[in-house]
Amino acid sequence: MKVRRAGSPRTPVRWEQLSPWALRPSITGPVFRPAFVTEIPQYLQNDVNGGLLAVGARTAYGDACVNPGGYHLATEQLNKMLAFDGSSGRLTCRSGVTLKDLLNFSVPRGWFLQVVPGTMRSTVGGAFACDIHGKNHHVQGSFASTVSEIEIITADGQTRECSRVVNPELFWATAGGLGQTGIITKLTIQLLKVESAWMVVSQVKTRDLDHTMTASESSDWPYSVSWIDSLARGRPLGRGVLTLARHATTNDMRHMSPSLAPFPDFRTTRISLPFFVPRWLTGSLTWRTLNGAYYGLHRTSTQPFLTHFRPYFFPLDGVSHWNRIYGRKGFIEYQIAMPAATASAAFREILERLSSSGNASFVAGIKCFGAGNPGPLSFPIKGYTLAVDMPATGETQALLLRRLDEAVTRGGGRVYFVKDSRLTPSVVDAMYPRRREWAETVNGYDPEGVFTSSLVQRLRLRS
Amino acid sequence: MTANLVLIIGSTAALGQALAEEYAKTGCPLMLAARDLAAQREVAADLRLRYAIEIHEFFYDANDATCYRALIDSIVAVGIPRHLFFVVGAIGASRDLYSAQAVESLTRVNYLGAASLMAEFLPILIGAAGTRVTFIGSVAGDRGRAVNPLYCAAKSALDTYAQGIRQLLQPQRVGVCLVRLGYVDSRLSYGRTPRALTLTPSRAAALVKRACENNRSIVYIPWWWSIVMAGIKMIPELVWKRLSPF
Repeated sequence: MKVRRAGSPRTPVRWEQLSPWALRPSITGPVFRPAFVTEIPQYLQNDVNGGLLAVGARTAYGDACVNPGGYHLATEQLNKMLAFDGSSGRLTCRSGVTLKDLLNFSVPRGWFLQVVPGTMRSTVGGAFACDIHGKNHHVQGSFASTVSEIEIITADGQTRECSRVVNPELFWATAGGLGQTGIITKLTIQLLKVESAWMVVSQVKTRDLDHTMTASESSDWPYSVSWIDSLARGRPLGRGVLTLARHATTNDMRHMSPSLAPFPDFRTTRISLPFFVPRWLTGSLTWRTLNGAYYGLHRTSTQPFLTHFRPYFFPLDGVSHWNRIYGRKGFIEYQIAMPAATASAAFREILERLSSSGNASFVAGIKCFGAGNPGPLSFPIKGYTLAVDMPATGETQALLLRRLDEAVTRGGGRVYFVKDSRLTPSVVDAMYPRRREWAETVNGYDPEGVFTSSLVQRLRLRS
Repeated sequence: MTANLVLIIGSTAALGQALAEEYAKTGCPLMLAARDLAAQREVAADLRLRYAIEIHEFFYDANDATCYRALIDSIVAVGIPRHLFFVVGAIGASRDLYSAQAVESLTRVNYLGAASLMAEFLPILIGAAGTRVTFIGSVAGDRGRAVNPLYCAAKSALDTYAQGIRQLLQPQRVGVCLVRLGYVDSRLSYGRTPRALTLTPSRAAALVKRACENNRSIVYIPWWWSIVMAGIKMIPELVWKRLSPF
């Protein structure tokens, strides 16, 4: 058993295999695991050579959640709920609480998270540090919009409270701040009152890119996202299925399915992908067939129907290790946000190029974004977002994506850091014009650079 | 004796937390005691929110002899628990062997504290038929090793002490269970034990709860440690002392 200790000889540390969700890069590194927040300053006083990165569930796709050559601080045991007001729906909890844990607690009490991503394995601390967004960004905003206060331990070991009023600069540098301001230890989250655990879902099949984009914008449903056939080219390019949803009310339940319990116990299936799928099995023909079948099986539009929130929001959580579908070498999710004016042309160019070079797969989506927030590194901007998964291949793919980055930059768009493992520093300032301002704030709180990550070093975000 | 009342001494330890949750799930009211009151407050707040149960929080520090009497008084004020768990433990560092102060402290945490608290508690237990006392010992108590003689000795003392009071309390129908615990994922074992052989705290807590409910006297958790330790105990001292320290 290899045991190496940092600083003080009694600091417990464990060497672990650490992989981001998209498996790039997979590393072995030392991990601290405090049981209570009072232990955190002790880890900061250690001589953490190579820096320290707080990690939650490591569901970020790229290298934002690994720190090769340095230390990690796992928040998995900082998973206590501290206070909940059942009349206002305000929950205060530690940062290592997972969204699953939180929803298991709140949903039977009639409260839901206002913003959820596509997985509930993530922690609330991670959700804030990545400022994640959900299918309702156009009406609700990102995760930071639901958080009223946070508590953070900065590099000097001080515990600081911050909110939109108290220390707002630190609050916004932390929202989407990739763990660089310190270790988030506590969050106060405003939940949303719901009358059932069910969703009313409606689907619309779209013909082409323009149809997909206009349909998603003109809907007045709170949740809206389009799956698109990323391999369709020519006229049907951008065709897909728009899924609209809202939380089912007691009234909906009465009309649509009176026999359903509003808050049933949800039985989860324990399916797992036990091995890495070999690449030859998942060539572009496989994806083309799958996409065609999925598109073809949908009717033009459907009557609204009821679905439990778990398969609606978190369909892929039903299969653990689904990331192995792209093989051992991992994959890339290219997610960008574009202003409305340039989105259509840019998406067309990107989809055309990705599809013609075979860089696409089953998982691709378009969604409209509402306005961004004051977080300098927060990803969403008013307009649209496009995400395309592709198996990671080689240099040709890297070159192609670099050319796409330029197209994105020209159109005033940006790449999502949390999904990224390949961007180059040269385009970062054009994509995130307030990056330097963010770096100044962060370096003010952490002048010696205690906190870092593979992504921050690769993109020189703090220089 | 108050029905279903459970006392956990060492509530902020990984196993202590897991045990508390295991009983909270079944709706049992809890009494928790620990040295770090702030941490315990968090554990208690979390359990109250999730399981809506009654929880009493007390202070216990093995190295603070004045707290024993106060703890017993506050426990009795609430009621006599049906289950008592001693989950406190510390391994210490190898240099502790050379400091008389550290030796005393480690012995207190692992053995003396439990025995001292029991000294105050025994008169109450006599007459509280149906109560179960569970001490969390360790497989380390079965044989001394060069890496942590103090820990092995203290756990061994706890083991022997449990045997003695088990006999003493048998006529009173008070059960005493000693758990010889193997590897459990905790602050003590983090980064030191092979993961495949290490139990999660919640699994270990479920097994401890079952052993206690089945009125077991001595139990290895997980069970296969009984075979391993039987083998280790058979090694003659002549050979054991010559093995390279592990």
